[in-house]
Amino acid sequence: MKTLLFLMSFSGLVLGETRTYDFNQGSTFQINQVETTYTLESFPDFDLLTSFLGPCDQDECNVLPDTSFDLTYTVTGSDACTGLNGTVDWQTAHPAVDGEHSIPISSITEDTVFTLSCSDSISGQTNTRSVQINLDNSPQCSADIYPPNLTRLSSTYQFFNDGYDFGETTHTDVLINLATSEFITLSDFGLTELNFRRRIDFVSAPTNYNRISQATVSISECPGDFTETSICNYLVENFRSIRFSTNQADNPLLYCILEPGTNYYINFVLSPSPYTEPPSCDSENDFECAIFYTETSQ
Amino acid sequence: MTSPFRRHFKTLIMMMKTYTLLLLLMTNTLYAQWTFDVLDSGQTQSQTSLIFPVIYNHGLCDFQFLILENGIYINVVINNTSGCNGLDHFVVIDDFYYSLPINFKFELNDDNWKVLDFVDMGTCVSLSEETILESEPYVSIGSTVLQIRDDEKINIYSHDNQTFFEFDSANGDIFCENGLPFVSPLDIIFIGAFE
Repeated sequence: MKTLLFLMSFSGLVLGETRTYDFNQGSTFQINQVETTYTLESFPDFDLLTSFLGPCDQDECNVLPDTSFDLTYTVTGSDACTGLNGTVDWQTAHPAVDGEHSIPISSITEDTVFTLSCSDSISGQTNTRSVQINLDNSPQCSADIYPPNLTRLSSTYQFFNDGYDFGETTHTDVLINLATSEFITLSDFGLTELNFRRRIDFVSAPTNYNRISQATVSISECPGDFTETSICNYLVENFRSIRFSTNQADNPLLYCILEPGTNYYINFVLSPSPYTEPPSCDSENDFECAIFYTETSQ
Repeated sequence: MTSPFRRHFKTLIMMMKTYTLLLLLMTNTLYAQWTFDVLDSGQTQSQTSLIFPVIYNHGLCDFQFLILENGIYINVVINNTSGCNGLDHFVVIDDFYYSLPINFKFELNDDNWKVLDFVDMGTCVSLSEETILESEPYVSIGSTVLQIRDDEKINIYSHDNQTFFEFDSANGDIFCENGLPFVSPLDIIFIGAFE
């Protein structure tokens, strides 16, 4: 024993402190045989709450008065989630099981911030996120605004765009075969990205469809709105472009300016003046003709 | 004729030489090639020489080993505070995971990694029906010895109070009877962090 102690001293070996590290979730102890290293790597606490979104899939949305909506969040690694400020029905415990959860909110009476806090009791980590829900006090939508004596068809923009949102792809064609007795309103039209431009180029429909003469295209918050209250209103023919932008600084004479993240309706009717002139096609013998366009990046 | 004192002195000198040689050999063999790096968010905080073995003790919920820094030996303790609550330790080999028993110890070295306890993994096969490779570097779990890939990293991490020791075998398709299909939580949570 004395010999060993002597030898350790002889070799210059000194026993020192104890160094302690924590191995929490988010850390890895990695063995790399090529580099001959054992590496303890720590990362900042990852987010327990990876998303918290309003009904428009953004963290700020508009809703109509007396209208219910869902708040949706995705949680991972948490064991308790609680709604903080918001409506009374929000301020309670919410599911903390890993995955996506949607919580229905009956309605709001004023602009409201909803806050969600999720925590992990073992690591002590807490993450909090908020969404802003604004009350949309714009005039209520009504069928009174529809072009007279026409049948309304309704669908989503994605249905006619091969499942894609507006602005998502330039590899699809939109073809809407419309009767002269109808107009169509497509919901879920809009752009999500700020300072984003998009163009749609109307061209003559494929030869197995009838050509249009003139049509009116409007972007509006209410379906079937071809009036001055619509966001944009254009007369189109078989060859025409419409430009869209989410840059508020762009010229509204050149671009239809959209609020990013807002859902609009895009409306089509085969008449240059929907409230005064009945729809028609290029040939007076046709009672059905096709609006046809592609999206183009700007 | 040699006096008893001279004999004792010669013996002492021989012992000293032997211990010194042994110590130098151990020093060169055990820590000259390997380092222990501590990184925080990708930034290196320290780099020291690592002295094997690294012992993970489930009873204590920590890793313990020695490092050498500026000629001073330092005890290192890595507390597994969040991943140690009972039957919550798993060894992952290829695409399957196996439960580790309570109070097991895991000895981590440079070319062998040994679970020092009985683990019933069942009969192991290579799914491509190749011979199971057992040379170094290997992981030894109970009576099962599997050569592991030396060009892949071995990852140890905890998630949701569970600790995973993840290896890739040299065969690449080892399945043992008591294995369950494994989906790494890192694929979901730490995407990019281990690239």
